[in-house]
Amino acid sequence: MIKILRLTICLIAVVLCILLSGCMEAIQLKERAIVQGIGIDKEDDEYSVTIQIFTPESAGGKSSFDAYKLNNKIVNTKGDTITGCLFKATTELGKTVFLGNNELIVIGQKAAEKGIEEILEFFNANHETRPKTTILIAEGKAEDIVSAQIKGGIVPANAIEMIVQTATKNGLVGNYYMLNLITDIQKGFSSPFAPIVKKESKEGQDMVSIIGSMCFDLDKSQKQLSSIQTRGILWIRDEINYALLTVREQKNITVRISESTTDINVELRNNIPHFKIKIGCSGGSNEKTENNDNVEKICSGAIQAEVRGVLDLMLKEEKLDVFKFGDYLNKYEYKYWLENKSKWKEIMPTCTYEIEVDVRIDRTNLVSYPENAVSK
Amino acid sequence: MVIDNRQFIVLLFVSRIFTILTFVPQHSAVNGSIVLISLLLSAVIQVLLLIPIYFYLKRHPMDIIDYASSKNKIVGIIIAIFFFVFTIAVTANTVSHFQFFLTSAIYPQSNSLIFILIFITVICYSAYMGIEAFTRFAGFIFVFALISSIVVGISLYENYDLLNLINPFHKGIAPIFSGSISGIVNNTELVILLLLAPMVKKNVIKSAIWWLLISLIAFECITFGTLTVLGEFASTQLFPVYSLSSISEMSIFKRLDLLHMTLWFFIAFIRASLYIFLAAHSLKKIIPTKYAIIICGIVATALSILFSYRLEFMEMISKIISSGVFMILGAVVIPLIFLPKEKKT
Repeated sequence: MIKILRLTICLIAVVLCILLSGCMEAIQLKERAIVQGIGIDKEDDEYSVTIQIFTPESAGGKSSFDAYKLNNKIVNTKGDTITGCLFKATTELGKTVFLGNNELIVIGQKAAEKGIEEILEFFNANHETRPKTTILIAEGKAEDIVSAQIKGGIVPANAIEMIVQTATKNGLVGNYYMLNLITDIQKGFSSPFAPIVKKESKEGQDMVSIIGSMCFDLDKSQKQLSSIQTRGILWIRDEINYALLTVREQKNITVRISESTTDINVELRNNIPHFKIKIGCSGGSNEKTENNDNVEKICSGAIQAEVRGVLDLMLKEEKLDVFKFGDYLNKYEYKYWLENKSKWKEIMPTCTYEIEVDVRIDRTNLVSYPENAVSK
Repeated sequence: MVIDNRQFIVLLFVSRIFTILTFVPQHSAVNGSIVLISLLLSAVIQVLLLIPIYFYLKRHPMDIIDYASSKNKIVGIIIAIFFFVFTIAVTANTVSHFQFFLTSAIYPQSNSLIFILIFITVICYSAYMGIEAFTRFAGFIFVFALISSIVVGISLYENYDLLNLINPFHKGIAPIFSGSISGIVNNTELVILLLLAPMVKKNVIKSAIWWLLISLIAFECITFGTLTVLGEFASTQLFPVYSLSSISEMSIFKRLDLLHMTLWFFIAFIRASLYIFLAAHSLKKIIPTKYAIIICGIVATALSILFSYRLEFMEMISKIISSGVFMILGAVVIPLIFLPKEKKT
């Protein structure tokens, strides 16, 4: 009798373990709409949300999806709030919209002009969205970017992400995540910036390319920069991992910058902030150089010109601090910053700076150039 | 019912780390960078606060409630009520914080009542098994916490921005003092040292100093991480340490916040088990009953439901617990009252 009782208790325990494994209703994978990219447009206070959902397309056989197919479905909804739009998408699809896998948020040009804080607030408050989600600004509508059918990834959003990552590695854009944008907006004196993407069609195929960066005045888009101007910012912010510089020394030479560090010192001169920017980089070239010292000088000059150009433009004309200069003042000239933080926009154009660039060509290629060799 | 000193350190550390996980340096009364220094000062003051407990235990190495009862039965009951109220309030606060985290960050559409009921049932069972049982488990959690913190810390190496750290002495030393006071009053484990002391094999004070040192290191590392990695972003987050783990990724593992969720669950379990165990221990001294844990479970459930009903209630009870009143009474006043030695007749 006791044996039967023990067995029954064990059986009940096992059944309870199976039935009570979790505190909420289980959602099957097929009941989820897994968002891979999301586009937000805003016109006349109405949101238009475009989501790209992972929809596996099988190539037949045993595989559940074919990586060469586009594997996605586009859904567009309109509403007063982003939550409302996503709810409409949920009812339209008959699936729960899941943002946990989303790595791309594209914001339309008009929405960016109106202010992105409200949009970012939604994603920041959403428990599924990761703080490290990439933010892109669309030239035109975000819907065009998210609905573009680009090949190259498992889904088109994947391909866009790879384009951004490659551009970031090559020092053409800063990979600006949601958390960076929110941080800068939160500070109130720092201007965030994010890559701008554009949709094109070549031979009937959709393409998305990065055309530069959008700089914000707090949360409103203000100034569009080219990739070279963006690189100027990245030199100053010490965010260059790799860059290609093409310079002319008797012939065109491309120098690969594979290491770069920037040191910024701030001091007050006549109660005006003076920034000393020291950039040190090293790299090599695949082209034969006649005089390395000369190439180094030319490269230094080129970087200096990029940096000076963007400093003049952003501080003196646009009055946007995309360089974290406010943070340097906060850290090293705290008393001054405390008194002048509210006047930072007026102070910015009066700031002075000196730029020192030191380029070293210390990496060789694989070719040996004997001194007595007869060159063509 | 005795644990060794290493287990004692680990148990207190795991319980203490629960507060660290909900800690927001940018939300504190003082600037985040100041917190880094005020933590050091608060650790020193906490070591000094151990002096009354040290002298009490040196003279009367026995349960504080039993000793008080031996002097005067009513005083003994008052001391027991004090510890019961405190430990049951911390239990309910831990449970409501735990369900708040789960229903805010992980399962927003789920029913908080189910969490509370299941969780309290589990901690009651754990407390019923005794202090050795959940302390042994705390050892595993300690190792898990250490490994996962190292993994998250290393995976964030590209995100540390020292520009977010400013000179903590910019505003003078007054904010450092106020920051350290808030660090001290938040340490609820100082209050329960007297209750735990008779359950530990050897010198409790030496172990308590080790516990404070390990907690200081953990607190400093987490504060440094949230300050330098998240910067101002942390001030927009309810659970910045969770956000810290959600941005960390390693190789193909894209969401290390999973480690944090698991860790949070077990830490909450250990802390709540410890406090409900001590609540039952105190209750037994007031009403000798076999059902102390069940009564504590019912009271903790009622309080947790109340605290979870509105966010203001949860904030209110947190403020009361960390007001410093319980800390001063439990760690300073009570041991000092019972410090004098009996005169030999």
